[in-house]
Amino acid sequence: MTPVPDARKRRTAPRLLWQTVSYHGVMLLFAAIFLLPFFWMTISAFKTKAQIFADHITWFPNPIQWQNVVTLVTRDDFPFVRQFMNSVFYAGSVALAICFSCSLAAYSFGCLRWRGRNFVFILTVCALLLPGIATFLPTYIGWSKLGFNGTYVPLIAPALFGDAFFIFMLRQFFLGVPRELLDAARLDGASEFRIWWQIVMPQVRTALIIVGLFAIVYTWNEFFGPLIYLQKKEDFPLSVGLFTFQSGRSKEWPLAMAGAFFTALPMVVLFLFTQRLFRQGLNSRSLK
Amino acid sequence: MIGLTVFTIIPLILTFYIAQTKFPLSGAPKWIGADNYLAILNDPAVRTAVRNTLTFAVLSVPIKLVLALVLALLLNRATKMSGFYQTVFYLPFLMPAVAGSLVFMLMFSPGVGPVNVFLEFLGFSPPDWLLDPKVALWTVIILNIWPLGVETLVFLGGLQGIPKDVSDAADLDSPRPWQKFVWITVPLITPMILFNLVIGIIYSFQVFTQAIVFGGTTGRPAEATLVYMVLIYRAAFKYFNMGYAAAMASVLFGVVLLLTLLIFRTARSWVYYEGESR
Amino acid sequence: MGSVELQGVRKLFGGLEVIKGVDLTVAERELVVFVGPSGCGKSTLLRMIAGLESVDYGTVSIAGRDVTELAPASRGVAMVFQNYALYPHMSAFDNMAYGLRRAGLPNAEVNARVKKTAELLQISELLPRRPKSMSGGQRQRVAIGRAIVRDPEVFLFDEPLSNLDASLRVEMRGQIARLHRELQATMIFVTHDQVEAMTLADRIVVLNSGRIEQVGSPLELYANPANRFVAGFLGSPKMNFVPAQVQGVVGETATITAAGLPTFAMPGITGGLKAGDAVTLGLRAEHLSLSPSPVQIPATVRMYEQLGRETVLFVDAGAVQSIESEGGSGALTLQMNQPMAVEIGQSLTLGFDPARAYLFAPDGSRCSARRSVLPG
Repeated sequence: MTPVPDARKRRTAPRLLWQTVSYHGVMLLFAAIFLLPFFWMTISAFKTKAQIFADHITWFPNPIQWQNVVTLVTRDDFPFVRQFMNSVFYAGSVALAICFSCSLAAYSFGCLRWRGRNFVFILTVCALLLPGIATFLPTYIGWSKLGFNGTYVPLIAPALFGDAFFIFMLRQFFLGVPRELLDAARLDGASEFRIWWQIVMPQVRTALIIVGLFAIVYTWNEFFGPLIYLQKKEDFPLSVGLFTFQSGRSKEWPLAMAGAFFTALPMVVLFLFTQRLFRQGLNSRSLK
Repeated sequence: MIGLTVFTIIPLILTFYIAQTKFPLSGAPKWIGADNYLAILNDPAVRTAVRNTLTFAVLSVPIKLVLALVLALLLNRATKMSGFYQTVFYLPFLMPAVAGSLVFMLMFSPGVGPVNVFLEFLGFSPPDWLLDPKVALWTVIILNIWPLGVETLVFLGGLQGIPKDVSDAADLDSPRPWQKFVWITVPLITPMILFNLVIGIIYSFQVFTQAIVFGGTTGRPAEATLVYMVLIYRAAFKYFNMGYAAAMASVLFGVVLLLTLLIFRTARSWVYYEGESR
Repeated sequence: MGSVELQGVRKLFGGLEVIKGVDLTVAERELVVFVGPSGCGKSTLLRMIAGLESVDYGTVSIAGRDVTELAPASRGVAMVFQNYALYPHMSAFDNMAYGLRRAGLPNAEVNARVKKTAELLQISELLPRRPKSMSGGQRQRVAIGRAIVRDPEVFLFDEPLSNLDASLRVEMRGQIARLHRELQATMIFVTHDQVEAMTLADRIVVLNSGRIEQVGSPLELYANPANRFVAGFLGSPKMNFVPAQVQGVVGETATITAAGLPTFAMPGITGGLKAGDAVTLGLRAEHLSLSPSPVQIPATVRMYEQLGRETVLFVDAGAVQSIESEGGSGALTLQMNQPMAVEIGQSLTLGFDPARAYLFAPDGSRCSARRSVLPG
């Protein structure tokens, strides 16, 4: 059959065009609204106090107050750098501990067979739903009696025992490891621990990275735990540090914004570089 | 291996049991029985906190779910910009709670932040978000709704899990698009709805960080932002009234547990299950 | 029941034209089969009729109405999908009732229609059950029921039998043919299986790369393929294609030479061939014979398939090489309608009658004479 010449005009063009334009228009509008807080935080971090509170809004700091940054890191009553390092230490250790403990547990749930396995797993998942409030108070009292109040121990130690959320997530990945691999290793006489370390772990490397990332983000933003266990400013991670600084001096907004900015920045940067992994991590979770 | 995994469970269970012995005060443990619980019922601060927390939960959870669903529907079209949009909408999740709260305080400040500027531009006369007790809680609500990346992604996963064939068949059978949405799309993503709902409720009842940054331990302005968790914190760490705080915590726990169980109970009837989810 | 008319339909995906100008009319109550290799556009075309894919140029009309801009649900079509596409969270009854309820029909009528259709398809016991608890064949019947209950102008089937196992497929094929007769319905059926096409169709539409190659009744297409593509597509085992040359043309008779073959004459040639043209000789496997024939070729058996009722021989015929042969590297395919004792390496002489052979011009179109569809 011969193709028809362009005498019949492309019927769908105008309607399709309008649809596409309006769709993207709406999406971009939403995007702008969603990004507004980030934007505002950034520009406020570099304004002077006067500019923030000016009568009319200034959309862009002029001039850019780079010295806000300087002040931030040199202020006595706001040991920013110290707190930043604390956050890094805190998030890092927790992430490592989580990866270690949760992969052990997930391995046990996913690759081994033992009686009551499913039951215990369900219990673990239920623990997920358990609101933290049920346990924090007695835990706090417990740690205080042990004398660990004021250190990072109570914040990191639980991670060594696993967290239900991450166990669940990792188990999904562990379930994907082909059983033949495990059987072959067992035939070769490897102990379970060895299997875990040398065979399975490399397989689920991506999963571990994802879990690690999630753990880092989660801990970096963690507020309540550090708030109740730590007392000295120098010990605080950024989340608490920012809070105490702000509640003490409600007039120092530019500095606070700068602090906020640098608290958020590492996470945003981390995310932008590892987006794909984040999304992967969430996708396999939607199996409930 | 088994030993190690048991280790993970025991702390969780142990703490739960420890939570049972909550009556004594710290420092000088004294057994005062149910007095704490009675005091809770009579405390006006508790009433305010409960009201605030309930309002917060009842408002933020549904709104967040609906918005997340809308967003997921919008994101479901595959366009070249999809990746960009997903990144943008997921980003707020990463904003540390404290930082975010501070930024919101600034943004919603009348005369200082863009929010009111926009509203005035559109012709509304905007309230004083920070100081007006009637709307202060709303600021916290919006702050909590803003990071809906996780919920959206969960919904998106659900939407994309609907087989194209079924979607096509529904197109052929449904004279109006919204019919397809109501009768086919939504029922098929009920597992996701359940998930988001439960997570949302558990989280919203325990909201703490945003509230305390925003309103301090007094729930500035005029106790409008005093939520339950803040009250517990205040009781435990400001007034060192451990027993009281513990009692409050156990009440909250009980309520949340009850609610969750309730939802799961009813879930049978309205959630569609694909079969065994291994 | 309505007719379907496609005029100048074209579709582009990005820069690629996938449907390149299709004109077709499906008459009322006709069962038309779209057939063709993977990727030829048959499913796309079907979905464009349904409204699930957009039409970039041209028009689609159903029962006289231009539906090109209409939503799928407003076109008066019903579709049966390859994967059944039943609503998993609803019972069979609700699946079938869904469309009617959304259209606003009163409950009593909905119930009546669903029950009647269920009886027609013998699936009444399945009504309260969910798709999860049904076998493939059962699901397929519910899917068909869902389509029937809507009383559409046109039924569309998108490879509905491909997911069923062989015996079930044959049974369902018969059911669909029966339905067609009983409902007197207009049906468009898409498949890649030429046996299904041949057995079900009133007319077959052969598609290739977005174009219609030929439209006609099954026997017509088989006896008189319009070009090499159609000739090679229909018929199993596949037709033998031997490259040849035109030595000369006198009136309507062409003298053909080919490597390894004696020169022979073919009468009734059309299409303006001249001496020196490179043509393709087409020989159906069943037209090659072991009895004495006008043109003979010595050959050795390379491979054979004993199918009980028939024997298929793959032979090496020296210089006579067949293109795209199913027997591999140039072997000719022969079909004998009886069981035979055969050995690999055995020598035999096969031959054909030029009157039964096809000739295809350099551009692929058939230039040998048209012959009657039925022998005799």
